[in-house]
Amino acid sequence: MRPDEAVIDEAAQWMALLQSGEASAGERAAFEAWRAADPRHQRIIEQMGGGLNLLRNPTLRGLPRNSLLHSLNAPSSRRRFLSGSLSVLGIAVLAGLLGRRYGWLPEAGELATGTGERRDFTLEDGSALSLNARTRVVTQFDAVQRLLALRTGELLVDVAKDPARPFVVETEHGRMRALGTKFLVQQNDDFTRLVMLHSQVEVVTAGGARQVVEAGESLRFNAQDILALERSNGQESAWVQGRLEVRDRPLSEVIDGLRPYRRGILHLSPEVADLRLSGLYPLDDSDRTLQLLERSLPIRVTWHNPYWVSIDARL
Amino acid sequence: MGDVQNPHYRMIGQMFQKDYRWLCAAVGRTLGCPHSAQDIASETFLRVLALPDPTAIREPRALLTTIARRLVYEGWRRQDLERAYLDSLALAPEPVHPSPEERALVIEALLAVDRLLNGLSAKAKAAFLYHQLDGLTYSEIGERLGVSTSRVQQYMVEAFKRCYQAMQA
Repeated sequence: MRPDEAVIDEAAQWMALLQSGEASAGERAAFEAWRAADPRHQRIIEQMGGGLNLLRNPTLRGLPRNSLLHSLNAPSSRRRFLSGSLSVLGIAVLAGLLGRRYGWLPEAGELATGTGERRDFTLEDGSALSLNARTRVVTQFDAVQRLLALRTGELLVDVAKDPARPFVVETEHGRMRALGTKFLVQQNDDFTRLVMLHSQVEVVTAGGARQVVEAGESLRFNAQDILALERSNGQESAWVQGRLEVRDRPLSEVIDGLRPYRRGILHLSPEVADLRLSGLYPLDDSDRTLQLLERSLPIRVTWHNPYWVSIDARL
Repeated sequence: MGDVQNPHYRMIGQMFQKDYRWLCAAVGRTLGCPHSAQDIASETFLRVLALPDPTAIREPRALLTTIARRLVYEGWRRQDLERAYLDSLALAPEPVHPSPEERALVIEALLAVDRLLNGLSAKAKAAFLYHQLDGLTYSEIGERLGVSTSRVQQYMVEAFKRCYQAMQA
């Protein structure tokens, strides 16, 4: 059943009102009543909010606004076509347009999780793999090696022993090579973090820097360099149990840990990003985690709507 | 390349064996360039693999054609956006020279937003992005665009409807 136009229009009206920042308490209560009145309402609001995720892209945010708007207003070549048929395409136009952006069938080994979803897998060699929310990996196992390409997100792997085939986890920043061991890998925009739980792994960055990491150690590296080798604090893998555990860490790190569990926008004001905190927080109920944070820190959490939450200093 | 987790791959594998050459030929006939036809056909199957429930496919060839056509349009649009982006760099007061990697990331990001906001007026796009990316209030946006605050609110309504449609597609 497709929701009809009127309901979508209502939902959009509510979103626009709530995001104006000028909705009164009465209007917010009216919105809650509307949302609760029909499960379709909630679904439509969720899907509308889902589009906002796209706008979190840092590349996009970094673009000068003039450049962004100018580009989006480019006239469409599509008008040059008669609609609806492949047969009117020119000859040379497609060469190189799409490029070979993806490998071909290797992507068939893809394993992925969505927002708020954690999953456990047993790989074909018997290794146990856990994926945190919003994670994508591609497995490429052959006679020579067992390769796991982490495209985005965070994984924990307990590697089955196979002396003949090393187990390699690859991120855009480098490769981690093991024979049989247990470790955690987190791919961030600017660096990869490796936390060793058992045994040892050899890291080679894309630029060729090498480092052996032992159990109980944690390594941060980017494509060029080894950034830091530290004692692991033992809490990095708490997400496997659905918890976020921190000891004396900045608020920004806790919020980043919550992001894969929330749709929509979670805005953290820079003036509170560096507040330090310790605690144990539920990942699967991130609304409650935000409430807990608000209670224990000098911050104010404003719920413009379920998909637009901002965290500022409490005045 | 065994994947033990997803039984859909077997089904799509059969579809691939049966229809890949057909699709290459169909696209190639109209493009005249077998090389890019293969790229498009390959990408088409990747998109089919990413569908949530491939077992629901009833008319494989109709689906393949639809996706292939969408990819062709997307290729065109990518080129439009890239050209406009390079123009905007040339117009900037301080010349900027992004690396090929940076450029590719920008084009991907532009394509995604373009798909999300496609069909909105220039002002509605601007209003929505000023609000979502820069946190400007509706009245600040109104001043910037030379329209009333209530008009800005209407732009936001249009944009949210468009977001919903884009997420359905």
